[in-house]
Amino acid sequence: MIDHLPIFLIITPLISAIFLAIFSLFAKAEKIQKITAFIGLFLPFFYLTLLYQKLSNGIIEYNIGGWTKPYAITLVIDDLTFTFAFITSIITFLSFIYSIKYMKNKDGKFYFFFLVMVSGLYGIFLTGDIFNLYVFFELTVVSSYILITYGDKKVSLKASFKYLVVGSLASFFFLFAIGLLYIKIGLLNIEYLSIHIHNIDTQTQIVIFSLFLGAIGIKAAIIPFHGWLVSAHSTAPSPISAILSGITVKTGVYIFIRIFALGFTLQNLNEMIMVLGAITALGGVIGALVEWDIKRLLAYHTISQIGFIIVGIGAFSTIGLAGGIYHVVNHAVFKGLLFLCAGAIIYRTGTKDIREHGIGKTMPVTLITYIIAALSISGVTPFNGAVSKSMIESSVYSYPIIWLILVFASIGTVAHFSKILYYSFIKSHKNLQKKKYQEVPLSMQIPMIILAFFCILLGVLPNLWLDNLILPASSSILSGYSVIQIKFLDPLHIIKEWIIVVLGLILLKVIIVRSKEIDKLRKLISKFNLNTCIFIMVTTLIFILIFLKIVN
Amino acid sequence: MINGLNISIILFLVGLYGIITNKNVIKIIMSLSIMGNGVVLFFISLGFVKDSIAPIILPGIDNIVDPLPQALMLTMIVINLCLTALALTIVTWLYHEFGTLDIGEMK
Repeated sequence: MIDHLPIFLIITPLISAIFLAIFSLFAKAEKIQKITAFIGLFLPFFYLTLLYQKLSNGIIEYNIGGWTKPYAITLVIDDLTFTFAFITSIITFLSFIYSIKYMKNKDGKFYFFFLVMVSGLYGIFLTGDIFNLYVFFELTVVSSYILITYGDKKVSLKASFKYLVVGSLASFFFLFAIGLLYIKIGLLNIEYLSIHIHNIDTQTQIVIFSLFLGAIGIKAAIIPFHGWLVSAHSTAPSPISAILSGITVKTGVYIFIRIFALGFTLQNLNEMIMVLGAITALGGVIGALVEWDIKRLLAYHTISQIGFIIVGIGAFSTIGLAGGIYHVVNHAVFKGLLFLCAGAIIYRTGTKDIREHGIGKTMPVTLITYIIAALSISGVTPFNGAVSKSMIESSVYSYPIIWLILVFASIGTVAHFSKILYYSFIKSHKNLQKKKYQEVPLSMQIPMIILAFFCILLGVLPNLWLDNLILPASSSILSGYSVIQIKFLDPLHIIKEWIIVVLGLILLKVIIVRSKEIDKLRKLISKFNLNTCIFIMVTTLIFILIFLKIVN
Repeated sequence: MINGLNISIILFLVGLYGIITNKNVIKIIMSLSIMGNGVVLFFISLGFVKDSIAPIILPGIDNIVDPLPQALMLTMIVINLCLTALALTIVTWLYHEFGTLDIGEMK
């Protein structure tokens, strides 16, 4: 049984999805449907805890059908895979608990697509074959296109269509790159590809890497490939937004790490990636400047945090990579929590505009969990964001401009999250006396409280995950263990964090005073439609191609 | 010059041009299909070997084309079919909601 756990991880959600579809034929079977979905989402968590003991003996490989290795479809579980799969199991399970009340008027098809998406997510992380990566990715995104349409009817349809077109484009780029790899090497197994990739000539490597960067850029929403993300993440139902922002975007990051670790022998790759990441980190914050819609704000900050992660990976040192991977985990936790909080606010007030919320202290659990998440994303010390952010920042000390851009992005982050806090909670609204808001139901509170607990746990005990999973993962990717000293609770860092917080609050004041001029910026941003987005993506890709051609 | 690889890249670029210039959602989906066909042709051309036959192994036959790209493309065609079907479904909903097929006018 325990030998077959890797494949069970993928097929358990899939089988329970099929059962759920059968049960949904009978009316009045809602309880059974929910229990089926619960089992399908809880069992992977259980499997992963079992697999963790086995992982300590080395990498787990599973060949489907018992074929020998180069021919079989392989599933590989190493430390990196385990990290991503474990956080997936936590976030998806908690989102499901949350969605029971939040989506109570929806039919069983919602949970069907939910489970299919989760199955695809596990598939992406476990597969050791680059074509299967494409297949599982399609499984994930096709279900998320459908799940997005369960949100606000009109806007979400448009967002879903946009996501579909851009996502298909990414898949085609990915397939072209796979084809080029196949024509040069003749294999599709990722492990074998990394052995043979240095035999490819530089010209082809440039084309392959650019195509991969285009595909991954779209999947991970690196600016300027981000056009689809904001509308898709903001219009989806809140539990789905939590998964999309927490996990689905991270699949792009995961594929990026795997592709980057293949070992392209090109010059100036790291610098280019770091510049792209820095642009993404700052651009997300600037995009959020004009927004009054709480979910659009959060979606822009997903882009910004992805920028931090990409900078960490681009540095490709042990501390940078470990910081990037740890930030993936942390971001999944706090951004999931933020979207659930936003969902709780929308559930009670019925509007997304933060100027019309004015909740005050009527929803204490939401308020406290929101503050914890906001402090985490701003990188204040006792919470988890601070650890990974300081790791990423310390990896770019040799590039002061990039470090400065990251600090500016942090200031913007503080400003935006205090903006939500100010408008949604503190500033009283004139309708507040008429309406009395209540706290959300208990089944929605529990996931939020658990995630807030994780925010504190991962910040207070960072070594729990770092030493056991993330540092082994990053050192195995870099093929060489270098001992690193990570300073926690460094007084200089804490002073820097609080300076950033104060500057962020000053920036908030500027934003509130100058809100009319910012509205002009909004008109400029809203001019970008689907055609322009894709045109910019293709142009950037050509520029990257030319840049790599010049420096090599 | 006229071989599968070149034609596939031209098809891909034609599809890309279609997506960038068209505002009609149906035409965008058509462009996506053309791009998908370009990718399929690209992979099939990868496995092509001159003067060889279909990969059905019988006694006495040794010069066959590479069967793996063809197997991969079967998967890809099925996925693309699903995507096109889903896209057209979303378009019918969009038309019911907005009453237009122009993506610029969907406000």
